[in-house]
Amino acid sequence: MSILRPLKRVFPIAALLAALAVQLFFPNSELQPTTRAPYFTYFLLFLLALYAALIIVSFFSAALAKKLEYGGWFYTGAILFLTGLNIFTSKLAVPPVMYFPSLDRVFGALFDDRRLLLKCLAHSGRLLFFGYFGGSIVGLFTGVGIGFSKRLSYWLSPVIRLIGPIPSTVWIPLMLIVFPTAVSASAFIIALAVWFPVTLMTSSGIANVPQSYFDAGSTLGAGRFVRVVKIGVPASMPHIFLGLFNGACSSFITLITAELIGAKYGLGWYVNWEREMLSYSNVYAGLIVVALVFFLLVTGLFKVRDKFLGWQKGVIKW
Amino acid sequence: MVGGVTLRGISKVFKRESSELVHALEGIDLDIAPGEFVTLIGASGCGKSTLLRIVAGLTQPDSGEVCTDGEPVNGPSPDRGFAFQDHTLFPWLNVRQNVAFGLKNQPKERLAALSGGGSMSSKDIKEQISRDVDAWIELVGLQGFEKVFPHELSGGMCQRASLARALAAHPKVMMLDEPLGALDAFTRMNIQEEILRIWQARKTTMIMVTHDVDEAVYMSDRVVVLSPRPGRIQEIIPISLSRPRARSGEDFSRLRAKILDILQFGGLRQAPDYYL
Ligand SMILES: Nc1ncnc2c1ncn2[C@@H]1O[C@H](COP(=O)(O)OP(=O)(O)OP(=O)(O)O)[C@@H](O)[C@H]1O
Ligand SMILES: [Mg+2]
Repeated sequence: MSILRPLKRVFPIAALLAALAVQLFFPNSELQPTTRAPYFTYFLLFLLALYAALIIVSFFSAALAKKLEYGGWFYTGAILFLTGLNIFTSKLAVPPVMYFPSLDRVFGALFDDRRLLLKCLAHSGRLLFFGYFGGSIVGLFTGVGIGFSKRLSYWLSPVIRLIGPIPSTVWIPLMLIVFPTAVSASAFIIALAVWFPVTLMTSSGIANVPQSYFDAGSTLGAGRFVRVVKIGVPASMPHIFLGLFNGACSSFITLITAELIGAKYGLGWYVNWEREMLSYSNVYAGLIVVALVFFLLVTGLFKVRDKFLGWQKGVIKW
Repeated sequence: MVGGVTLRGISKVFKRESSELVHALEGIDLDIAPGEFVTLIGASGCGKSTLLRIVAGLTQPDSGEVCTDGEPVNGPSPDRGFAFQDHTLFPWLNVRQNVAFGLKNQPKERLAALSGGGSMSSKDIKEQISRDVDAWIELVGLQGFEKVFPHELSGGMCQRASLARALAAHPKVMMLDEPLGALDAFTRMNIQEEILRIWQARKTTMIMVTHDVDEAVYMSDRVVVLSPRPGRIQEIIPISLSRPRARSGEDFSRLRAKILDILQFGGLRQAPDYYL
């Protein structure tokens, strides 16, 4: 155990070296078109340098050391998986090379198309930003309103139950007519997709706040506004965050789908366009970017949650 | 002197889910003088908490009227503080923020009046609040735990924090629903002393529920014994021992025995479910 622990930090290095050995000494299948440069090799070298640097830093940072030890098995596994994939597609060309390009070609596409990809990223990012924040904020207010006002709940709950479950992409044809631009239509549709889970979880969160908190608040002099803002909202934060997560997921789906129609740029558009061009290495390059971006966004949301919901450790778990 | 409470013909019937009726309180008449310390004692489920909630304005009685200083009660107010049976600390706030909640969130005019006239700037008020909160935390022995969240506290610590939170808001009448239930004997006595000290210093009217007869005799001016189902006032025992009191002695034991006697043999002979 005590010997294994520091070793865990080094295993990924060994895996990377093995991956490099496979990549360098095992020639690509003749069926795979060649690339201008061995891009996957570059990628592996980059990972090697990055990881080596992290290991050096980890000797000075116990926190980083712990993280690397914890992730050791996973990183090793991921690298080995990539190597397996490399052998399966690039080296042996078992599946048709048209749909399963070599990793060199995928990373090559990522590199060669970086300008367009960045442009698409910016385009999607803008849509997601306005759609997600717009939808969340409106959802938060709707949820709080429904949670606290009987009259709002009477009028809005049935509407929400009616509209909410409809996949918001169904509205695309209508919105393209109503909104002046495709961008504003798409942003609205994404907002709609986020609005529903956020509203639902916020109002159900508020409905589940124990009455005793409001009782305590009102004997301490809290008026209606304070009870809503300082008791109802923080007490339902765990629910609200669930809504924000679900909202994030449906916003991703909606973003990609919305871009399939009427968009001129964007990651969804890129993937679809390259698929129509039968350029699968670009499709995978686009998918890698999509996965990375969504991964970062969700991780960010987790970080925000941990910061705001430290108090709920031992109270609520999910 | 402020903080007098008058209860006239208070009755409360609850309807259970099974639509069975529970006569929680019936015909409660009680006059509590400003600055008096009154203890309610009685079997579990006889309506003590309900009575406190009615005085606080959290529950509406079915009939009867509650007045504080001649004003009818028709809703909660920071003038009537409440230390709840289960502590109800806000789990998303740490100890310090919990204790400060009342001071930070009550109407500004009330705060200004409390801190002696309207001459204070908002910065002064803030500093005053901060000092007050520190003092309360120290008083209930939670210094060093200011930044700790309720789920990391023991049951007794939560009760102390909740007591500090309620008292810090400067109520005129204070409802204490078994505030010392989860404390060990030693801490319990300490906090009893603190409550008595605060009571004497502030002249806050105290209405306390307890299951501990010694505590009732030691602390109160009057002990109100409630009988269960329907909750009625069975007897009111004035405790005329001089203060500061000893926790033993002939008079003390006599009063204690008398209350125990009423609880066990007076009026109700069927199986009692006392905590005693
Ligand atoms: N909200 C409610 N709905 C229905 N019944 C209630 C409600 N609140 C209290 N009761 C009933 O009223 C009766 C009195 O309850 P209360 O909580 O006042 O008792 P208590 O004297 O404080 O008991 P304990 O000493 O156990 O705290 C009980 O029988 C209880 O079941
Ligand atoms: Mg009770």
